Amino acid sequence: MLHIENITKRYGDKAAVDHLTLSIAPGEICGFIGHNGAGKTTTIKICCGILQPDEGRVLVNGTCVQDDPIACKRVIAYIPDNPDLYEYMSGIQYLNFIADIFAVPKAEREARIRRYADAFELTGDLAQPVSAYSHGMKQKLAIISALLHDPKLIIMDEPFVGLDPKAAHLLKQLMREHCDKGGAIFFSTHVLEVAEKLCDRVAIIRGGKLVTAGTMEEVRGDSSLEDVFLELEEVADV
Amino acid sequence: MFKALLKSRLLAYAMWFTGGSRTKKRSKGRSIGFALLMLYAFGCLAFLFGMYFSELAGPFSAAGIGWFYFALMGLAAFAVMFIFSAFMAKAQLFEAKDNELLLSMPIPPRLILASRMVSLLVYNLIFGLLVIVPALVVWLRVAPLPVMGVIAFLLVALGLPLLACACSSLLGWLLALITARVRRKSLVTTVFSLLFLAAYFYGYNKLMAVVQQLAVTGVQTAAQWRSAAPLYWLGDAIANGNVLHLLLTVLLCLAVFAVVYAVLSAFFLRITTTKHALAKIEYREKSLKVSGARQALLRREWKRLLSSSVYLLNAGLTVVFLLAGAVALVIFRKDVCAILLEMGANGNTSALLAAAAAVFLCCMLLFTAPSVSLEGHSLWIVRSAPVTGWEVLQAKLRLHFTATLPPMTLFLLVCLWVFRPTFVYGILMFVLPLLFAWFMGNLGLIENLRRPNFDWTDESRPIKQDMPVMLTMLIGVLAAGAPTALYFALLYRYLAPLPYVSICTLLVLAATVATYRWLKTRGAAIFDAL
Repeated sequence: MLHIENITKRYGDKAAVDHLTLSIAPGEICGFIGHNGAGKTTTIKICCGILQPDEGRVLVNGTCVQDDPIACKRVIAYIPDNPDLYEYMSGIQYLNFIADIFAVPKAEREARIRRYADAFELTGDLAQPVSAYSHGMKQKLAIISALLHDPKLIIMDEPFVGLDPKAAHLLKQLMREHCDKGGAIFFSTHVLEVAEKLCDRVAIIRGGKLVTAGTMEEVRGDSSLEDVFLELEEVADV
Repeated sequence: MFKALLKSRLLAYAMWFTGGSRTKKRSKGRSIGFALLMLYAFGCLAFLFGMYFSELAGPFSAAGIGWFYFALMGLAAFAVMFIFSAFMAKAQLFEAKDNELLLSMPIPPRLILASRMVSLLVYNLIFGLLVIVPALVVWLRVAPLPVMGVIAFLLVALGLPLLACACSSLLGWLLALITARVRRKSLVTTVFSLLFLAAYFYGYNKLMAVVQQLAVTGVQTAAQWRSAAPLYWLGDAIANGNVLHLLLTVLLCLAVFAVVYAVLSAFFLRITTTKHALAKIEYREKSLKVSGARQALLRREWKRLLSSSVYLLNAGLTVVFLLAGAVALVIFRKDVCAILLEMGANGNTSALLAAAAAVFLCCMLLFTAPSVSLEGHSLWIVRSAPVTGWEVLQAKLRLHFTATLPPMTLFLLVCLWVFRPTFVYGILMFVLPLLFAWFMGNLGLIENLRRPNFDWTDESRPIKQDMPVMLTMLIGVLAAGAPTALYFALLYRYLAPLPYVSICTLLVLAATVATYRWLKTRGAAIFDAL
């Protein structure tokens, strides 16, 4: 589903992402873990076609994001870590805008908006301007807008930040449902317990380089993900 | 702490003045270039004020009513400072995006307010100097000032911005209070702004006549104004070096500023953090309107425009002028035709003059100049969506067209009806302004693509203060003014108006096509890389 092939991204002399290669198959949830400034967001933005890599390429369902970004973006949904939405629109206007951009048919968009807005308990606030939403409400709206066009691949940057426990639980359920239907999810998180319970695969990045990647069992072994992560950090420091 | 706050505000001004940005390094040469450009713009304004004061200096000096001259100078400076900073005060003092961030830090709210008021003060000072420096220069050409008068002038130059800042801050507070309680904030602010502007333009229209009348009746008017104490003190302090009146003037400015600062400090936290509970809008599920991506992107642009009074007014002033011009032309068509006839203009020449007026009005068409910057931190939405950069840019251009073409067409139709030019002149009268309007749309977008700014905390920055807006206007004025000046200065001897305007139209067409192609290729690529 997602194949990241040897991507490098430099800012001046510093390589924010350094020859990173990673694959995610359909049906997999892949957690992307790393310290602050490790290169997670840069990698994610390259996958979404927002940034161009200096080297390497990203393939979504066999199509290169750099060669045909539009085709790739049609099947991707992206949720950033701090979703700045259009404050001058109401919730429903924003969702309808996204549905128009992704050409979601009328019946489907209405059904999905109803379903997800009810699930996230946002229905009553859809007529309010986004400027009146709290951070958590904006996060929920961003998640609903990402699910509207039934994407094949969902890429999320720290999606659980700002969500209340009920909404976080619902999101985990939806993520699992999505992958069980053949989709894939690639998301970054600092919450290792969530990654451990939810992810099929995990990739750890440090200083722009992929330190380890594999199934949760392969990476974690007998210890916890937190122990593995901290151990890798210590080794790198030495 | 206060120094740090003030430094960040003043740095923002310095970057604005030199066309810099927090994310992009700019070469020294370019910074100097932008600074010179700004100085040139200020110089033109100062020259304009100098012209008005030159009508008064001679007669007032001869009549020995220098105090009245400087009183008028003070009044004019106050008016200019107040007008230019009134709406900025609301946005900068009470609606800045970093208010909550700063309030969450261990910074007393009064210091946050103080740093903002001081930066507003600097802004007022710059505009105040545009009036008082030419007034002084013009006066010194006809009469000297006593030493105490010069000192008084310097102190008044520093004191008047305090007064103007205090008044504009109060007005900003009033507007913030009103708009906090209404749902359609941008509509209320727009209505207030238009009323304000209407009053301003009414006053401005009368200004020259008033100035000329004052030049004749100065002595009588001055006698009536003697009782207007603060103005008399100000004028007398500078003209005659009256120390007592100087002290009173300065104390008055300081006292008003101090009182306003104290009052606003007391309410600052409440004003900036209280979200008045407007009745929640009930969501009723209804059938959603489905449209294509192109329409959705255009609708998005319209919503952005209509949600912001600053954007609406700054970009759309030309629309207001075109509509007002059309109405005025219908009402006063006989007077206008009579004046043009006196000038030797027939129907055809009048049509070309109308086209020239419409072209100059197009220089203030600024819908596209801030539109890329206004994407701000929500740029990720269109960048991650399956739309090309060109589709997004097209939507911005279509906003420009749909906002501009109807009022422009109406204005030109009225001109056609009033002046009744022949066929060819009529065609040119239509084509040239419409093409130039298109060119201005392209130009604004090009400038904003070359110098985007996504880091603003206050939307008035990309809409009113950033380089793309300034440059778009300047280039537009040069593109309209240079050929006009060239024709009237030199070429009128060799070329009739029709062929000249035809050549200009072809040049505008070429520029429009070239800029459109640039946008479609290079511009789209730049947007896709943002």
